Amino acid sequence: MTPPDEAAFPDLDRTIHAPARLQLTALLYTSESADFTYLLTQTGLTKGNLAAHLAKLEQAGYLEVQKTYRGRVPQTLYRLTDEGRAAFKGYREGLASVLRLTQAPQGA
Amino acid sequence: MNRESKHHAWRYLFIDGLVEIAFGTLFLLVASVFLLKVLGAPSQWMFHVIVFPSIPLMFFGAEKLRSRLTYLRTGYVVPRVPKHAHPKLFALFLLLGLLVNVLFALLGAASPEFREANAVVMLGLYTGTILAAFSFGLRRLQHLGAFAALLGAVASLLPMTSDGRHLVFCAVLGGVLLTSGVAVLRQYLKRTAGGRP
Repeated sequence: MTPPDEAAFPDLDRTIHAPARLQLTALLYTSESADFTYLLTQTGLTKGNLAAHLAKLEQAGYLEVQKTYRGRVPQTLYRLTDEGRAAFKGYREGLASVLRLTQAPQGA
Repeated sequence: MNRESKHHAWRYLFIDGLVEIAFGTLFLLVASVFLLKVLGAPSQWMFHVIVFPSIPLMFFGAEKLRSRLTYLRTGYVVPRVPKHAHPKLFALFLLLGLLVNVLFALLGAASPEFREANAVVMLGLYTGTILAAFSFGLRRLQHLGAFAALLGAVASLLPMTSDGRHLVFCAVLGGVLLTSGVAVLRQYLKRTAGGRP
C-alpha cells in the first residue's frame, strides 16, 4: 500500500476537527468574545458537553477565559487566542485543499 | 469565510428588536418636535431639551433591558470588527455622501424652494442607506431601509410645508420601526420562553 501524499492530504487539526469544537471555534472566530449562554444557545450542546469542549480548547491554548462583572452580575467570557485564530485559519485552508481533491477533474 | 458567518455575531444585535424600538421612539420624539413647529409653538429649544438628551438615554435603556432580558436568555456576544473593514468601500460611501451633500447645498443655495421640497427626500435616502448598510444581510432591515427611502420620496409630494413633510416622515417611520421592533421582541420572548431559542 502506498503512503498517502502528504502534500495532497494536509494534516487537519484534531482539536478543532470535532464537530462541536468546530462550531465553537467558528462562532468565536467571528466574534471578539462570547459568554457561555451564547455559545450554549448557538450550538445546541448540553451544558456539560459545552464545558468539556471549551476546556479542551483552553488546554490546547486556543481559548482564553476572562472572568468579569457586568454590573453586579458575574460574567465569564470566552475568546480565541491568537494561536486559536491561526489554528482555525490553518484548519480552514487544510479542509479546503482536501475538498478540492474531491472535485471531479475538468472534462471528466 | 462567507458573509453569512461573518455577520453572525452582528446580526445577533437585532435578535430582540430593541434597536428598532429605540430608533422608532427616537423618530417619534423628532416627530413631536416637528408637530410643535407645525402648530406654531416655539420649538427651537425642544430639539435640544427633548431629542438630544434622549439619544444616550434611549440606548442606555435598551442596553439595560438587554442585560435583563436577552443576555440572560440567549447570551452575550461582542461582534468582531475586522481590522481592514472594506476601507475602499467606506471611502467610496464617504465620497458619494460628500458629493451629494455639496450638490444639495449648492442647489439649495441657488433655489431655497428646491431645498424645501427635497430635504425630506434626502432624509429618506440617508435613513434608508444607513438601515441597508447596517442590515448585515437581514431582510427585515433592508425592507425597512427601502421603505424609508420610498417614504421620503412620497412625503416630498405631499401638499404641505417642509415641517409638515418632516412630521409625516418621522411619525410614519417611527411608528413602523416601533411596530417592527415590538413584533420581533414578542416573537423573541415567545421563542425563548423555555430557555432556549
